[in-house]
Order: sequence, then C-alpha cells, then structure tokens
Amino acid sequence: MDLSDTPEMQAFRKEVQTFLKTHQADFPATMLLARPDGAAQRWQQLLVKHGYAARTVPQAYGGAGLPLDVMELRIIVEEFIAAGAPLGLANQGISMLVPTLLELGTEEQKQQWIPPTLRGEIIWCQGYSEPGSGSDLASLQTRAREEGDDFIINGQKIWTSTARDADMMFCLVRTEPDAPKHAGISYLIFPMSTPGIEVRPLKTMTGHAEFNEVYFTDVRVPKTSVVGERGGGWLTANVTLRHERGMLGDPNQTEARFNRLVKLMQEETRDGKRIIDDPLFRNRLARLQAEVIAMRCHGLRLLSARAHKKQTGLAGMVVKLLGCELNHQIAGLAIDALGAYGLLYHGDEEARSGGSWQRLFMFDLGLIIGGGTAQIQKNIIAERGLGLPRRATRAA
Amino acid sequence: MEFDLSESQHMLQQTLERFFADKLPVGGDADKLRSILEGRDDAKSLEAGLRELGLDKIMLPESVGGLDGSLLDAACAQEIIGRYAAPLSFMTQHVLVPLAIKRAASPEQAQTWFSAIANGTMRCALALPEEAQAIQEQNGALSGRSAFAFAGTNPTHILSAAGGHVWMHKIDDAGIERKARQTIDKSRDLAIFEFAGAKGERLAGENAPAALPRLLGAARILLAADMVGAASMMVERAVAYAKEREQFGRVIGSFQAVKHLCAEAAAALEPCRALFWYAAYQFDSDGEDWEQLACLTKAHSAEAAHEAARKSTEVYGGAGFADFTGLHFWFKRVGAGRQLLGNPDRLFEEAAQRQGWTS
Repeated sequence: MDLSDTPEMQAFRKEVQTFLKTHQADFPATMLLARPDGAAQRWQQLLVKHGYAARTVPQAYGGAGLPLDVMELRIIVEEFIAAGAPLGLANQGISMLVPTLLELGTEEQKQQWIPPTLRGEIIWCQGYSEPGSGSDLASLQTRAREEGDDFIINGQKIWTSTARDADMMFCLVRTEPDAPKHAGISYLIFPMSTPGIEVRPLKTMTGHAEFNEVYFTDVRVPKTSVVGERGGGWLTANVTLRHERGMLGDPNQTEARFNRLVKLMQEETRDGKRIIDDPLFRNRLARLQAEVIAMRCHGLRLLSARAHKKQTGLAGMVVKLLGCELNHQIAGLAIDALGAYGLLYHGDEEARSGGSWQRLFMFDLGLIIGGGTAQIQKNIIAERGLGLPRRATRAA
Repeated sequence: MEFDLSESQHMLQQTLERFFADKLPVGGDADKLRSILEGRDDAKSLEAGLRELGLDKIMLPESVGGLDGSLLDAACAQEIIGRYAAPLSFMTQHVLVPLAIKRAASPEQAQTWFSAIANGTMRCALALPEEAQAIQEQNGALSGRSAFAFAGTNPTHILSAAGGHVWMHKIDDAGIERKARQTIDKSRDLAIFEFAGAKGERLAGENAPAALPRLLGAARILLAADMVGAASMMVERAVAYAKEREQFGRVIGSFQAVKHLCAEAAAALEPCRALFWYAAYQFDSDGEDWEQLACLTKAHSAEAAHEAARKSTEVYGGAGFADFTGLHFWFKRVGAGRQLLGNPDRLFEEAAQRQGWTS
C-alpha cells in the first residue's frame, strides 16, 4: 500500500494546479447546460488543448491524443474539484457515443461526428429503452424497415434524457425481424430534426421532466447511419452500456453530498438542540460515514488495479449497486433530520435548499432503478462474479 | 499510487490459505475444526504449523529472528485465520502483545521479553479494557477483574492495563486467578482473570501512555479483518452449496432470490477489504484519524459480516441452522468479533465523539 504520488504524478499534479491558477478567470459558470454556451465551449476547447478533456481521443478526431493513464485522469478530477473548476463536458455524446465510434465507427463517421461533439457543438441523446423493453433491452421493438437506400423507422423510445435539446440520436432499432432477438438489432445515428420524430417530455416523481419519450412515425434515415455491423447493434450497444455504468455511483460526488449532510445536521435544530446532538441521528450519520469511506477506499482499490492492468473481478461489479443506494440513504437521512420540514418542496419559503434533498431522494431512487436495476446488478454479481447458473439447471 | 497489498502480502495470504485448506478443511461437516472446538483434539499441530511458517514471529524485531511486520501484514494473516475460524491466539499473543511491548516497554524490558517470546518460554495472555473490566492499581498492585481476557495457550504471563499504564504479570505469581469463560465462540480463547493485589512490572517506556489507544485501534482493525475473512468463507460455502443443492428439479442457485442473497452478502463485504487495508495502513504510517478509522472499520465490517453470515446461513437452509454442517462455527466467529472491544453502536458513537460531532 502506498498512497503517495510517484514523482511523475507529483509533477503532473503541479502542472494541473498551475494551469488552473493561470486560467481561473476563464472558468465558465457551468458546463452542465444541455447546450453548452460560448463560455463553456471556449473552456472545453482550452481543456482539450491542454489535455484535460478528451485526453485519450486521438488528435485526428479533435482530442488531445494522449495515452490512457487512469492515475492522470484521477489527478485531473481531484485538482479540478479542489480548485472549484468545472471539468470538461461529460454529456452523453462525449461519454457514450464518442467511445463507441472510436471502437466501432468507420473513418468517415469518426471524422464527421467526433470533433464537433468534443467541441460541444453537437448534442446527442440515447434511444435505447422502450416502454416494453427496459431490463430486457434486447427485446426492443422499434422497427427499421428497408426501403431502397434507406431505413424507415417506426416505434417509440423512452427515458431519453436530453432529447429535447439534442441534435442527434444514437438509436437501437430492429433491422432483421426474422433473426434471433440479439442478432436482429442495429445501432443507427441520425438527426433529431428528421421528419417524423416527436419528443414528449416525461415527468417523473420529482415533478420535473428529466426524461422524454420519443415517437417515430415513418422516419427515413439512410442505411449509412449504421454504426458497426448491420444486425450487430447489440454488441455496439454493450460498448456504450459499459461506459454508462462506469459513471453511476461515483464516490467523489457521494462524499460531497455526505459533507453537506453533516453541515445540515449541525445547523438544523429541534427544540433548541442541534440534530447532530441527538444520539439516534448521530448513529445513523456515523453509519453512513463508514460506508462513504469504505466506498472511497474501494474506488481507490479499483483505480489502482486498473492502472496496473489487473482484473477487478467481483469488486468491479458492486459500485453501481452500493453507490446509488448510499446516495439515496444520505438524502433519506437529511429528510429524516428535517422531520416535517423535510416534506417541504419547491415554492415553500421554508424549504431547506429549495427542497433539493427530496428531489435527490426521489431521483436517486430512479438511479437505483435506471442504468441497470439493482436486481439486474445482483444477477450480474451472482452470475458473473460468483458463478451461479444463469438458467435452471441440474447439479453438475 | 498503489492501493493494493504488496506482492509479499499476497503471498502471505496464499501461503496461509494453502496451510489452512490442508489442516482445517471446511467441506463436509468441518470435522477437523469441530474436533478441536468440541475438545476431542487440540490446536497443537496448528500452532506448530504457524511457527514453521514464522508467523509466531511476524511482529518481533529482526534482532530476535522476527519479521518486523506491520499491522497490515498482521491483518492480512488475520483475514485468512478468520476464513478458517482457526482456534489460534495469533491476534493477541503474536501481534498485540509484541505491539504493546514495542510501544510501551523500556529498551531493557523489550530486549528481555522479545527474546523470551521468540524462544517460546514466554507466552502472554492479554487483558484489554472491556465493558466488564474494572482493574484498579495501587502502589503497583493490581486488583479487580478482566472478564474478557484473551488467554492464549498455556500462558506464562498476562499483559493488562490499569491506572493509565500497561503491566506485565507472571500468571503463577500470587494474586492472579484464571477462570474459564464459556461463550458461543469456542474458537476464541477468552477467560476471566481476577487480580487480588497482584504485583507486576510496569512497562516503563517513554511512549507508554500512548500504548493503550494503539492497542485498542490495532485490535479493532484485526477483528475487522477476522470478521471479513470468516464471513467471506460463509459466502463461498453458501455459493458452493447453492450450485449443488437441488429443489424443484433445479439447483437452488438458479433461483433469483437465492442469487440475490449471495450477491448482497458478497457485495456488502467487498468494500470492507479496502477499508481495513486503509485503516491498517493509516495505523502503520501514524496517519491522521487512525483511531476514528479503526472504530468505523470495525463497526462497519461487523455489520457487513453479520449481513453476510445471516444470508449465507439462509442460503444453506435447514442445513445451515443444523449443527452437522458446522456453518454455525463461522456464524459465531463473526458474532463474537462483533461484541469484543466495542460493538457497532458503541464504536459509531466513539467515532462521532472523536470528530467533535457532539457539543
């Protein structure tokens, strides 16, 4: 065990710190707008130039073209967070579509789509789940019928976040209706402005429409829209899903949220006493703290293993399951600490943080369910991590 | 940055795993362990094996042929010992006592005692402050009772704490009486030691006052490692069982409910490993907050281990509840580790106090 930086990493850390000090005036207000504004795009460009965004994307496609080093990536995140600097764009196009194109796209597709996506000029949305195909995504029914050089798409997608703002969609459709379930799917990319596409906001229990439904009525796209093999869309989709799962349950965010909870419990009072002075609440807080620290250590263990190209096995399969649950529990304790005041929501003057703990609590339940339900995660852990049989079998 | 055990720590675990798989095989009804716990056999060959591997000297200085190990080295070994619920006094006799001597004894005391421990003529029991410990000191004589001391095998001495100091007594000397303690966990060597005006030797080193917190912290981290090990073995056995046991025409491991019990148990335990590595590492490097970390590590590991022990037992069904598989030996190992030196609620409160959460 050695938690110190190597000399090379120390030097790299200083480099990042110097960059951030030098460019403090250039920090945009946010990188999280659905469509990055001018300040965000300029910041993104600056980051890519210095290798702090799109670090490993080849220069030919507008990235920094540097070798993958998970330790360097981590140092970038640590130093940016420490300096209060926004990290590079991490929208769906950048985190999911670009890696997929890099792995499976044609040269033409890479040249056409990667550079403007990295610049924040093209916004993407993901057309995967359908009302009838959630956990069983491969059962999807949105049909792409052949007509000359085009596909005609009919069907519906759901849980498409950013569909309202997106320029382009990457979409799974069934192109080979007679092929077995997993072999009949193709991964297409096409503009959201194509005639026949209708986006309807999808309100969730939070009261906000963080997601959308997308309806396709005779949407005509050229056959060249396929990424990867025609009929090989399931493979292509799995590349994307692998990158998505890595994003959920990040320990850094959890730690920040936990620290806000401690502050809340130190500031809120009931009958003149701070909530944190109540041993029952203090006990719950300490329990969550232990989990937060455990997940932090676990994250470092995984990072170190990947940096040294070691297999992570079962350890690598538990982050989404445990991390999302922990986030939800943290929000839950905040609400309990507030008591009836924890029920207050948007519009009530006395709602703490504008009711954001309640919003987080509910949205976190959505994250426990989305991106691979907790039950699916447990199936994966049991089958791929512990070797339990996928199907009903007799003893070997 | 390397957040992993070293090569030699991995090898230590692999060596110990092979040793115990041979000496205390867990399959069937765990009969080898059972015969020791039920008093038909003793742990002498296990202890001899441990000596052959050099583990009795893991924390002793190189000057007496020791390995000068760290707490992380010891915790790695303890995890495997816990995996086999091995009835060995490794934690107290071979780790905590040397740590105490290192930290609290004078150079002269250390030299004498380390030599004697190394050649096996000195075997120490350990009485750490526990819930039911009230030992008073007056003019160098100790009176009172340690209700949950770790006795070890044929101890010649006992290390205890009283009046803010650490003391070494010869057990044969006047004023010390040992009584048996019957707990659910026969794999642990707990005993009652009663002191009646017993005169002993105060550990006279410069750092003596700081020794007690160090001992408690180290012990808690070792207990965490032990529980993680024991619970992990339960999960492995449950998974193996689920792949074999058939009901309704199929192996029970193909039912989602059973898969989920196993997955939940395994997932709960997994981060505990990184946590006790980190806690031991902070202890060894005197990093900030190691005392608080030790509390949180033991408390959290105890809860995760209990969840895993419970779910593994349920996967085993009636066979898990029955005596004949011996699964309950591990259940009790986990349960005993939970209560000794602070159970979860007490440790969570201590951690909260340490970081100033209370006014």
